[in-house]
Amino acid sequence: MTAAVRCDGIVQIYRTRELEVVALRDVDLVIDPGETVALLGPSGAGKSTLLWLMAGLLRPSAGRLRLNGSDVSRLSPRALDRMRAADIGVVLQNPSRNLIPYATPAQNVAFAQRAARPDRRRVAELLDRVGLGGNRHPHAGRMSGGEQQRLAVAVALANAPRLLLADEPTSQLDAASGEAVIDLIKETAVETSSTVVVVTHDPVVSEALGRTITIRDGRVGTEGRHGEDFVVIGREGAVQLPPEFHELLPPGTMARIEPLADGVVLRRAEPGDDGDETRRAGR
Amino acid sequence: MRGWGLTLRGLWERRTLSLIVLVVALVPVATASVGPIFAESAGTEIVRTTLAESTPDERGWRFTAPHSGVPAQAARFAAGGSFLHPPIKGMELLSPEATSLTKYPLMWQDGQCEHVTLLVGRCPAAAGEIMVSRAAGFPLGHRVRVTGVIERPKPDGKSRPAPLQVVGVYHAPNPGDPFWFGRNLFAQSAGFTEGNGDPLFTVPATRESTVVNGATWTDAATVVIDATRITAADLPRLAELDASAQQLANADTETIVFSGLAGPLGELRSQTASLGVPALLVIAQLVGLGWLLLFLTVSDLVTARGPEIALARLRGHGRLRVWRFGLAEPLVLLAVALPAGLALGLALASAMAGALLTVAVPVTVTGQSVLAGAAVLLGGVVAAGLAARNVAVRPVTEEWRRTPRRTARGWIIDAVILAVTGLGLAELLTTGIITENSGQQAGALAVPGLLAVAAALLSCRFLPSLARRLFGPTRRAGGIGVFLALRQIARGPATAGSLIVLGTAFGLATFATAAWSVTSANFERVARIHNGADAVLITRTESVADFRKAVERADPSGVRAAPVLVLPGPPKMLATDPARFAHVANWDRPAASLTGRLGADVAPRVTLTGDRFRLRIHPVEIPKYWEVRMFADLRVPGEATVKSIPLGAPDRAMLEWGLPPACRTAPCELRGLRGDVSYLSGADMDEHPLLAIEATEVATRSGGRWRAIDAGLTDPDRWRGTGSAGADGLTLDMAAFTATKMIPATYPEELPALVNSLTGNDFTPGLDQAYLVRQAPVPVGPAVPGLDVPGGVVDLELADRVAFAIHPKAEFQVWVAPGHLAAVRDGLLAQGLPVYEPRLMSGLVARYSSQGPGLALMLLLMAAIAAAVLALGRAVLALYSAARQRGYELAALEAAGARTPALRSALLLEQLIILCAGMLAGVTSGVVAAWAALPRIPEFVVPPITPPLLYEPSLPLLAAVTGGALLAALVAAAVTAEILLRGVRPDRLRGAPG
Amino acid sequence: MPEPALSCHSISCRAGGREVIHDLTLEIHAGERVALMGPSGSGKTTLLSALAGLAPLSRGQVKVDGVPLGENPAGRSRLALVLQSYGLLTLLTAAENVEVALRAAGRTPARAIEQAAGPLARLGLAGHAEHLIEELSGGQQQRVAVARALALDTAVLLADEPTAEQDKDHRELVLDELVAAGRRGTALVIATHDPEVADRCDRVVQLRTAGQRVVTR
Repeated sequence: MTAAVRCDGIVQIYRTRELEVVALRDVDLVIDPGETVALLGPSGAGKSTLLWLMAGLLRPSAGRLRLNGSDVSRLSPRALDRMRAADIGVVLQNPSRNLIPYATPAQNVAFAQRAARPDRRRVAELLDRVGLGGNRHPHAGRMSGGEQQRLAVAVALANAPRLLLADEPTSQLDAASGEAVIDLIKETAVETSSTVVVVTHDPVVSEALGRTITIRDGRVGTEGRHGEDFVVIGREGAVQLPPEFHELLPPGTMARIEPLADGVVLRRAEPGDDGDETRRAGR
Repeated sequence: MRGWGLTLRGLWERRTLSLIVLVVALVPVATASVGPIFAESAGTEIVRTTLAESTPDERGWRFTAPHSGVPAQAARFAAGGSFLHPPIKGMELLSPEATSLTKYPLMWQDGQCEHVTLLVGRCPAAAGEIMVSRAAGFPLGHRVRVTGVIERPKPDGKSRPAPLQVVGVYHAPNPGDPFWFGRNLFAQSAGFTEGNGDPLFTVPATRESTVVNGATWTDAATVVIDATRITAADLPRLAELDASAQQLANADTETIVFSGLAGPLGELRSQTASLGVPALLVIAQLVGLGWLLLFLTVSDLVTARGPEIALARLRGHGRLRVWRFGLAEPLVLLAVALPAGLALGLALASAMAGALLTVAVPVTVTGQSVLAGAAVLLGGVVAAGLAARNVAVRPVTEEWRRTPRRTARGWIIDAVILAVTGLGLAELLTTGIITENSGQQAGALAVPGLLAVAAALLSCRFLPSLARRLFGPTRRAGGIGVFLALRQIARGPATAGSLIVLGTAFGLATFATAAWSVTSANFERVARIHNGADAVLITRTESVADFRKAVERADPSGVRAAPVLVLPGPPKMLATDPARFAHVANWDRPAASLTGRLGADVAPRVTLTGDRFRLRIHPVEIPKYWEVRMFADLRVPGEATVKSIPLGAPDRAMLEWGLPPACRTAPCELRGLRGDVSYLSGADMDEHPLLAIEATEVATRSGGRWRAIDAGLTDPDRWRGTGSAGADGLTLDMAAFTATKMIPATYPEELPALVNSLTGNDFTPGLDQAYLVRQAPVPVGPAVPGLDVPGGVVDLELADRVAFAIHPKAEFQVWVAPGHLAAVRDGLLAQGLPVYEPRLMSGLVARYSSQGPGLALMLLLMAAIAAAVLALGRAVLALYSAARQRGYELAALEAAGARTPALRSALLLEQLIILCAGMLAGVTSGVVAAWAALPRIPEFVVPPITPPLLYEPSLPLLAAVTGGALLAALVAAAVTAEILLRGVRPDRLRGAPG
Repeated sequence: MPEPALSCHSISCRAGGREVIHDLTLEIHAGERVALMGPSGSGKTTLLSALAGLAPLSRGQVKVDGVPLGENPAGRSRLALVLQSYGLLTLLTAAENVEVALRAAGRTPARAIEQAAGPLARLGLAGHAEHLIEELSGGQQQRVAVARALALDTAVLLADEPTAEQDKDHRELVLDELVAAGRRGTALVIATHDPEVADRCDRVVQLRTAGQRVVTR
């Protein structure tokens, strides 16, 4: 089965006036079709950059990104546009940025549709699904944040995309609206068996989705599946220890690796020990 | 279409910006289109007034032929132009009347009854009926017979002249009626007995009922131009028609075409050559400014739609769809702006036509005006395209960055513009006036615009760097107001655009103001000199004495009107009464002293009346083989030149001859006594004897009695020539092969003339264009009123003494001082003199303003001012928008403790400095452009030879413009700063920015 | 007992059409470090705005050093703010931003230059002090905002998610500086969702959507 998203050694560098910033370094990732994934991590870690790459809005500086098997860097801009129109739906963080403020909800959904003629039935269907059916709302600019974000989801779904990307969709909403939006996304994912990737820093959101990938300092740090957190072994064997373990194994200390049948154990090496020491039990 | 709804909704959403784009597009389109529209109307006015002022035969064609094909030809001809009246048919036969032998034209002209005044009887209706003039003397009912038409042959073979019965008597109509095509048909009624009689009007049926006898019927058709329907655009067609009329005549040897149209046509062509290349270039710079404004404003509109365009790209719309989406709004606005701008231009042109033109002419949108409007909008389309491309091409994620990255302005464009400006300026300073033919120097004419842009660009570089230099001092001392303002100026995005737009617009506006002030001053100056006086009336009298008397009676005061006889020469000659001339003519300085220099001491005239002339001399012995003849030169009224009467050989005491008949009733003047000697064969060539002939008395006989004339033969001051006057009388010295001549010293040897320093000691044409005498130039500077070419002003009395007659080309002008035109005109009309349309100085000024170069500069002024206002508005708006986005930041500053006065001073200083810098850059470049370019930009269709033009712009006006601009800047900055301050409220900090 | 540096009694505040803060009482003394925590939408930002005097209260008042905030405009000069969107002037450099705030607060230009340098250096921005704000990354901009608030050296410092965009090392830096400010006597109120930040504070106030509950440490 082709992966919905496959990242191989993605590196993303961008330039400001004076500096070069490495947003992503060596990201390896596979997302299967139908998965719901949350990208977590502090700001500036590179989550949004990864999302833009998946949306085909940026080209990776190095590495390969494959969406449903097609290599993004090999596609022409027109092919990227087509792909974005047909296969990808994007929901931005700021609700009003997802919409044309002076257009009605129906016009907004129609705007995202590929064909020149709007499919009115589908538009009405989508609006009903997100709870905005019935022509009650004049213009998108006058709707509340929560309503706007729900409309944004409807717009993103207008073309029945295989991949739904959302950038912190609930960060500007209150808890109730945020919950509603996340539920909506989940339901839709189930109904249409599309792949969902949501960037967020809200743990509540990540709990609602199936898989959690934490990005720290441009790398994939840990992953969580079904509530359990795992560390991902990176390229060339790099391991990022989550912060909660930093007390036990402070960064900068030396650690001995003791192999096990299904992995390794890391133990602190006391200062002054030499490498020949036999194993000691950890405290 | 569904898309339109969204587009219109979006326009409404951003209605302020949309309205601004519309206005900024509309105004340049309107001003660009006004030019061609008004030029067309002004051209039409010139055509119509010129035709109205011309004589009837200059307004059409008269086709005549002895066959009947003429009417059809003429009808086809007249169909060739919508501005032609249908042809007036006619026929004519000239033959002597049976009894008096006076030739009478027997004629018919279609519509004749409406153009004569019937005194008794009626118009002829049946064959054989005629209508005669009162002067012809045929009573009603009389049968007139002319030899040219005879009755149809009777069975007895005899042919008799056909009787034409008089059924009506008419009063001679106005010969100026165009119906008569300027033909002198009614000379008999006017009193001339030696020519043809007045026409006998009849009907065409008469031609069929009679037979010609020794004469032929000539068919005629007259095609006249309808001066109320012809327009400037018809001129080429008119020229074509004239040419085809000639061809018609050439093709058919029997057809003759009469037309005086060539005269007005030539004049019209030169006058309506409206907007030549130099003028168009001046306007093109305006169009360029409109482009710039439109460019910046449309870019703003497209950029404001950035988020939506990014959204379209996010949704995966194809390139084309994204472009269409991005461009839809500006293109809709531009599409609306074209017809709206044209409508506005039409309204403006109508207002101008109403104010400046003297006759009502149609004002319509022309093809050229549409092109001009569209050219302006092209700038907007280009701007929209470029801005859309920028937004469509840059990475979508840029749109959502917290602080968007700015790119520094490239220097390449600046360098190119500065280089071109430098070249243009150099080219300009090395040329003279740029004429039609010097299209290749077109670059030089773009200098005003280029200078404005260059100055603006320089200020764009200069102001921020100056502000940066002050960073240090403001960081270490002073208030935060100036601290913030300087940094905003140095780094802010709105600085460059505002400076460019303001600098360019105000540069052009200043140049246009300077140009207009210089040009209108020059128009006044030239009109003053070329017209000579405030108003000039044209009339005609028989003699100079009558002329002077007429003016005397019309203006007894002596300071309101002056008689001026104008001879074209060359050199042009104005003969006038110096005292009156001094009061009435447009002198720049007191002229009383000058006119004193036109007089001279002269001897009284020697007048002769009578039927015979006698000269008493001391007889001399004529050497053998010599033939000596004596003559007396006379000036005879009615003769165009000198009339000499032979007196014979001087071997008798009395030499006499008959005087010309005119001398019996009117005074003739003795203008000289001369003699010549020639050798007969056998004479000795080596001997050169001299003869001295003494004349002692001049006498004339009238009514049978001889009377001596006081000719001053003994007064040496009264005669000059090859001889002398003394106690013994007048001595003429004669030698072989030299003619001797003594003339009465009634005029000086050289006629003193006030000259405009372009002529010297030339022969002056004299009232008879005979070039008899030189002028003694009295230079009075480069400008003499009334002289538009090299020439001189002489005393009328002296000129009359020199001449023998008044040439037909002489123009009898009455110059009138301001305010007295109506009174003088009425005074002349009351004396029964013909008075034609006055030539007004103001009319000349209006004419200059409506012709190509003047029109272009006036349009430039109007439009540049509009553009400057727009530029100021736009700059203020840009500064306002940029500052409003900083409202959040300023609120934060206020929350940190900044007081309102500090914030106000920051905003105020920032706006004020930018606005003032832009305006000053503009004003400076405008003044420099005026200094460099004005002397070289043509202001007249035909550059005047005299007076010299001046190029000093009015300093008070420039100061007023600069002051007004700065005041506007101050007010705008203050108001904007206040409005911005109201928006800075701390509770804004609650929300996120943008 | 001296007056609390910042206090509010039974304040209520409306935002977005509903009452976000209901009957809240809070007292913060000089040198105290208080963390405001709670899920998004629970009113952290609103409470901070209210304490800063930027949000109108439907009930109650905020007092700075015992003086109600609304009556005394000078009261706001005793507060320094670090907002979620920083409020920096994008066309000024980092140093200029701090300096202009200091000068706005009344320092002479020379003192302003002097007092701006320290906080910037301590927050790792010495090399970027002369860069324009728009050239700095989000995290750097945030630190400039913090430096600005610190330089003002006020009685109260209110910060809304001051470490949200920092990476690990810089997070430590910022927290160290904030704590140091607290030791110098500034009362700190920090709205955050980061447990690390909460760990460095004396007191944590948990806000729930229904009301408030105080959890002391």
